[in-house]
Amino acid sequence: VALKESDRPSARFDPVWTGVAKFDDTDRAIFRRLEDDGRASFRSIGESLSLSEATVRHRTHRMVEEGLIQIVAIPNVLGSGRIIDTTVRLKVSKEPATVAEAIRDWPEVPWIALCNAEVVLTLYTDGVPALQEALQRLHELDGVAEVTSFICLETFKATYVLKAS
Amino acid sequence: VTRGGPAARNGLDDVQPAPEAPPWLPEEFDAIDRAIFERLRLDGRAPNQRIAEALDVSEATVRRRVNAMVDSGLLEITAVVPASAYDDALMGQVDVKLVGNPRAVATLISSWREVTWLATAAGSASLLLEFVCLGREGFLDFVQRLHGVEGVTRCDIFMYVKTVKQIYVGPVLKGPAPPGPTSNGGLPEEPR
Repeated sequence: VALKESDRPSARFDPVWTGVAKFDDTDRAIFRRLEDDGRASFRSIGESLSLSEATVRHRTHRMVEEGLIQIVAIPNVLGSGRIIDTTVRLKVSKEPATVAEAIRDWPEVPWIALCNAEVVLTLYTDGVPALQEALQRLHELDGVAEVTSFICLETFKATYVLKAS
Repeated sequence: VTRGGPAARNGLDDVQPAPEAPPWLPEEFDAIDRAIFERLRLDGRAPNQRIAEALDVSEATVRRRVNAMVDSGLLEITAVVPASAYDDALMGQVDVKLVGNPRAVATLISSWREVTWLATAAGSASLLLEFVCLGREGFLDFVQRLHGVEGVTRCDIFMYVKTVKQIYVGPVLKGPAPPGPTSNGGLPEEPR
């Protein structure tokens, strides 16, 4: 789980992706400033890009409204080395959505997605006993036929894209 | 907690916040920090004044707390691009099995633009990664390249059909662009 930020590749959003998203050049420049600091004032962004404060505000609101960007707060979970990052896949014997629903409120689960016949989720647990306890709960869950888990050792890249829409 | 915000318009209207404090929040966050974080989680630009009123603390307190969380590196407030920003995005996860040095393969593949997340793993795969590809052509090209990487023996692909829950969590990794050639998956370059 050790993480050294200094020798990791960039996790900034890839310019090719932001290039093909529905942005124009001005949107993209504003996005870059907000990526650096999501709470930067519209005035300071405008000054750095030679745009009016009103233009920056209007475009930012439009991008958020249209679902082109989100401005979010992300806690640094793995920095301390305390948390174990585990990816889990569940083969299910009943409707995947029903199984996912049963897990959705678990506090140690930040993310769940449905694949074809499986449920994929992330567990962030504080130490091995908590991981074991969470895996046991998954094994015992109604509708779960098989549990496959992967402990993530070293994160090489973590780009924040909403995982499905 | 923001409800009916942009996430809702992205078809994620059933995404709900965790009802109890998650074990993964930094230990340094006290109750006020946690409450402020919860209000910034889906609206990173929520005004200090509005948060202060909701929590019945002063605006100066909120400003000081937010700055402290960000300055300590425990919280990043940033813009992200949701999948809804793209037409025709395909997303999923891949289990990569390989022979040779997993970290070397991880370094190479994590430089690819389709790869949004990658970690070395302990389990039945050596690496796990997450991808976003644009359209069928982009996806086929990505898969073909993945199979072509030296040492890779098997790739199992899991396509996402629907996201049920999404809380953004770190690490927030920053640094220079990865060295060496990168693939652009047949995508156009960003205009200069």
